[in-house]
Amino acid sequence: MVKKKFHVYLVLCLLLVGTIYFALTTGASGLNSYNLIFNIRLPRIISALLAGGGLAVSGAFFQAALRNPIAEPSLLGVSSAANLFALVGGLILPNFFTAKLILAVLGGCLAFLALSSFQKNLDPYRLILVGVALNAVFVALGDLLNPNQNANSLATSTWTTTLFLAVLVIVSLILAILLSPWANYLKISDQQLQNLGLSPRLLRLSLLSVATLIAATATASVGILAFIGIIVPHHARFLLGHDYRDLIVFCALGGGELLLLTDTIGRLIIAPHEIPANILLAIIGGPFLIYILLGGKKDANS
Amino acid sequence: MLTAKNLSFAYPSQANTLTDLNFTIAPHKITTIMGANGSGKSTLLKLLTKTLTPSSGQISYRNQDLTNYSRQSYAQKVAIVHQQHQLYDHIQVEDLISLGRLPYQKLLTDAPVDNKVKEIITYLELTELKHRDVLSLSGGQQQRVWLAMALAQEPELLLLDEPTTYLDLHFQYQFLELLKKLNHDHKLTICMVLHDLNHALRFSDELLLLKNGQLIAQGTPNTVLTASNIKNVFGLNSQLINTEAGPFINVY
Repeated sequence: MVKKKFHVYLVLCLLLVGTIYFALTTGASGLNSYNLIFNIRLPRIISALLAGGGLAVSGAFFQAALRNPIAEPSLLGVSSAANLFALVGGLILPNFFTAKLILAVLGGCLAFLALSSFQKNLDPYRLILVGVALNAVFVALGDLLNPNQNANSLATSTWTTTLFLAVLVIVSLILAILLSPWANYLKISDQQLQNLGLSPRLLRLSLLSVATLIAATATASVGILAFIGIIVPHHARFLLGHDYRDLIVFCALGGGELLLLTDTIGRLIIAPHEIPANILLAIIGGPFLIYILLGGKKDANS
Repeated sequence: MLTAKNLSFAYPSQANTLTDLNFTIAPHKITTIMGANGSGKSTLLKLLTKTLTPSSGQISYRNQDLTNYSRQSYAQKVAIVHQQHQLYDHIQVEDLISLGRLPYQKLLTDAPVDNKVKEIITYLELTELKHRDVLSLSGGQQQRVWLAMALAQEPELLLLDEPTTYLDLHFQYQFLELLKKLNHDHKLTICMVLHDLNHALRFSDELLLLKNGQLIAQGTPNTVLTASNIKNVFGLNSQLINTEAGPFINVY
């Protein structure tokens, strides 16, 4: 198992290095000026790595905290609420990225509060259904506010958005790694956690706070990106088993790799036009979700 | 060790589930709680684990009211094994058992696979299973793993709620013999809910008999499991037969 872990991380790191090099040096224009690489491609690459890694970790924490294998920020409406609030922030204070960010986090939290108050005992399947409905409302409201769809995406990444994203996501990722054992504790029932002297509410709230913070920050910076939070944690379980101490690290790296790869492919495949990463992710992620729901997945432990 | 005084409990806006219980769980003994379904056995265990608080009366552990213990410090003294365990995700045997060390950890630190955990794994003969996924084990093996988690708490008092319900006959006896051995080897105080009269007769030192939330008899199994008490609680006729293998209750 230790040897397998080492191999998994080795391959992942090699993939990351390769993808970063490829993304830095390849583009539609064929030019490789310093300005292009440093001011356009580099912030976009860093944003993709951070947002992707963050969203994968966020998904894993939602799954652990809600004890629901298909929980994920975009399916639960957390991302679209963050997006809606970020749009509002952009309309009120167009020159301050901080305003967008703070409102996005607020929106994410509100969506989650709405979700849990509609569905007090958080029955897994009804929770997802309520999330889907909430998501539809927030997406519609977002479209209403922003009919031209010129929201943030990876293509609009600048050093400013990247810097904000970097600070918040890196702090959250460190927190996530520290809290990763808690995700393991939530595998047993609330009753048993109490009998062990722990507070299941505290465990769950801590994980959900970190997960919501990451998802909202990523959404405010690069727009709604669905399915990373499902695809990456499930592959992590397939490769490494079910210990969240391993999963969180893998998600942070693997999520970055997945998003950077889809973004780079989308940038090049029909150059000079682009296919946004969210569209490519939905094309891969939708069928993958159906595959999971139909229960076709074996994992490293079974 | 653990004493209940005038203990009563009612769920909100309902009649009393338990009324005016007085009993003591003696140290180093095996105490069994029996009673018909709905007699309040599970509620009583929830009170003893601090999951519920009494409506009136008092429970004290080592002469201290339960409210004086924090959840964490109480978890270092009293552990529970449930009749059926809910596990929401895959986890390795060793990792699950190590969760029993959490009452001794500051929250951020991990649940460690320390010497205590290793010792328990050896004692319960789980060494070959320690890297297996708990969900892939048989019912009997799983129950031993949950017992191991409870023992990792290093409790003085072990509570068990119908621990043999989902086990076949072989595992029922194996599990109860194991409890007897723990009680004997480690002076572990045990209090469990059982349904089987003959298990209770054979494996317990003390017996509490509940009916409709009231304690109608307590004492040694021989004095409690009389034909009239069994008739009163379960509505069945019975006869105590002495066999070479020990006393046996025949119900008809």
